[in-house]
Amino acid sequence: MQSGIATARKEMSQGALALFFSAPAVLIIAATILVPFGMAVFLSLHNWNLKRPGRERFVGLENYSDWLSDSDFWVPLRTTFTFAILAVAVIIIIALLISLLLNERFPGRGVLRALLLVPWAIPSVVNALLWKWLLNPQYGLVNALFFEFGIITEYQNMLGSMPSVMIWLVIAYSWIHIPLATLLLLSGLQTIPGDIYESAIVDGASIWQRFLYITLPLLRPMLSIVVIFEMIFAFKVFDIIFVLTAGGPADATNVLGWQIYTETFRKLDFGAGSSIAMLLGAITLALAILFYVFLDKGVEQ
Amino acid sequence: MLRSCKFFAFLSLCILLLTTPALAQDDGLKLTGWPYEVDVVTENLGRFTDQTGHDAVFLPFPSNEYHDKMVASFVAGTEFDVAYVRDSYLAEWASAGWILPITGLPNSEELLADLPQGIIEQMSYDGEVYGLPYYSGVQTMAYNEAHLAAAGIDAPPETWVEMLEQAQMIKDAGVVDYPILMQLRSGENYLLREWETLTASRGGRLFDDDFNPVFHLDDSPARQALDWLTEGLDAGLIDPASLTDDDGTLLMAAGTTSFMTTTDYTLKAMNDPEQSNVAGDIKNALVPGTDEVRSGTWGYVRLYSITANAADKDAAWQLVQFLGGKDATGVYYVPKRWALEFGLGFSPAPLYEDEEVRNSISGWIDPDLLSEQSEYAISRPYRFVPFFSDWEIGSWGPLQAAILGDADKGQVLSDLADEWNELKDDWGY
Repeated sequence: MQSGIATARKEMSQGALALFFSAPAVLIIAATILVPFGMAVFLSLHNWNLKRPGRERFVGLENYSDWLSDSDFWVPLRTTFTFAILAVAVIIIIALLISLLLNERFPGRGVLRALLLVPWAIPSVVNALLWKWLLNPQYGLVNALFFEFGIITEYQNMLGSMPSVMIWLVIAYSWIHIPLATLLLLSGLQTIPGDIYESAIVDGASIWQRFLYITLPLLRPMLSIVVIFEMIFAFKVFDIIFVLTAGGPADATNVLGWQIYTETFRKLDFGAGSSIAMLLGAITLALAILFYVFLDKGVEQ
Repeated sequence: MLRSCKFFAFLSLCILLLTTPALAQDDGLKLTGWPYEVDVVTENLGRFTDQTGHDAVFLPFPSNEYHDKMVASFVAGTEFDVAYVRDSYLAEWASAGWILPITGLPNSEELLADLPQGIIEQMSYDGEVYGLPYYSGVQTMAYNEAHLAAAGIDAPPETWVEMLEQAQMIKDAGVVDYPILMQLRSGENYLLREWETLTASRGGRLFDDDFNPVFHLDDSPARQALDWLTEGLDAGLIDPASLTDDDGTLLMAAGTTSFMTTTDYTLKAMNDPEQSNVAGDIKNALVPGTDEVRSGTWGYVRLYSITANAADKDAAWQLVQFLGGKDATGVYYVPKRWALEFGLGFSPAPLYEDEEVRNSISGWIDPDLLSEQSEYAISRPYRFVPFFSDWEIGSWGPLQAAILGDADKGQVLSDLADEWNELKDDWGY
């Protein structure tokens, strides 16, 4: 009995010690995540416009209901979906192809893998500026190349109209996101045992059959993680929009991230901005859960 | 264990001692603004320190993010003492109590007496003046004389219709692909200002004196302005880069544009051989008009204001006087330096009589034409209502859609008028 109490005390003191050592981390997380999050929730429930000091008041869910009945929410949401679906599709398809290539043995594979990291190492704002120069309608390299190869007869403003602006935004965004997706998929491919492929070859399976019935199903757990990650990233897109289009032309690239920025930091309406940010967070979370459940079910099958 | 504690205590003491001088330096005045000629601003502040004994440091934010960064700073309580302010958001900052009026401060009456009434009005909100001018001027037209000559054109256009005709001749002559650049990008300094120029030069206004919208009325000058933009874009005469470009001055200086409306001081850079491929070719002309109206335009002012967070408001006022008014020797040192070295427009009356200033600006701009342009400037009091920026931000997308032909112009203008009226009611105007 006494030995049991001593063990319990020892466990408790170990627990207290663990709590003591983890307390700084918990405090930092609370200060940097929970407090701002709580503040955002608080603001979203208030009428809080910095241009109208002294008129702050609790409005409950009014900000949310206003947004849900406003085209200024639904149109950017549609644009966000369009951008995210296109960007994630491009990233996944290209990353899958590159990872399949890099999973093969060939001379220079190591160099190629290292080069793959270059776009990933570039800060996203620098990436956006780089594409701004490439797409410049007066002296951009893209215009010069297209003109040289006879694809266009005069220089174009690639970011000046739909669908061109969306296509180039997706390309510019994907360029920097493909490396991470490729690395993750490559790590997934390397966990697939080689003897399964050898057995399949002995059974006469073609390359396509091996990809469809071995690679894809066994890669599915990693694929699901990559899709979820990329979908979350794409839904939160802001920096590339800020640098390249500022939501234009004619609101064609006004995604929810940009709408949040406009409401909060341009119109200074922190209540409206926080509530739309909460809605974006909820949508992103719902999508992540949906993908997780859907893909996880696939893995079980 | 005890040894470790002593070591950390010693280390902490060292850090404290090392950082104390740095903290002490923070006692000086902090000026913020956008990073135009930072070295010159710093030199000017050195002169201020020599004359007054107050240390002062310049801590700028990027120009295109200035508004947003400053709002964040105001909200966070960052202690800037003096800040640059654009007239477009003067009302917003003044109504929020982030900047302070200078009315009634020592010397303010004397300094304001040297300024034109229009400039004072543009620096005012709710009957109070909120600073002294950094620079001011008018929107005018710049054109490339060599491009016109190459296309066989003798004189710049006097009407907007004529501008399209000349642009077609320049394009046909193979001088440039897109002769006209308009500032149609989303953003504070672009689309709406261009629309105001195009409207004023047709004899119109966006709002009447009671802040009621008039831009949406049938066949209004504002509507005609949008039609003209669509026509120019469709004809390939207005550069499609107009919708995304953020610095037309560079394109003009590169020699790839023949016409643009621009703020007067940018002509100095366009005619500076170190900054321009076509220095000497860029001339100013009156903003085109119609057969009935000659060259309406608008003026602007950028000012220095004391922030509400300023720790030493007397010292901050001294700095504002030095920067926007007279220095300790009683001369307009800083405004004159900006005018002489950088071509920035000025407001104090004594500088107009200054021979050195007059001789300097005539090297890159025709001062007589500039003076005539100023006579056509209209006031824009609607910009000084606190909800203007909310409405402006919401107007960029629909206006671009209307110009591009993606939306019905009449419907867009009607919707924008409704939005303005809703804001006006909401704010009790």
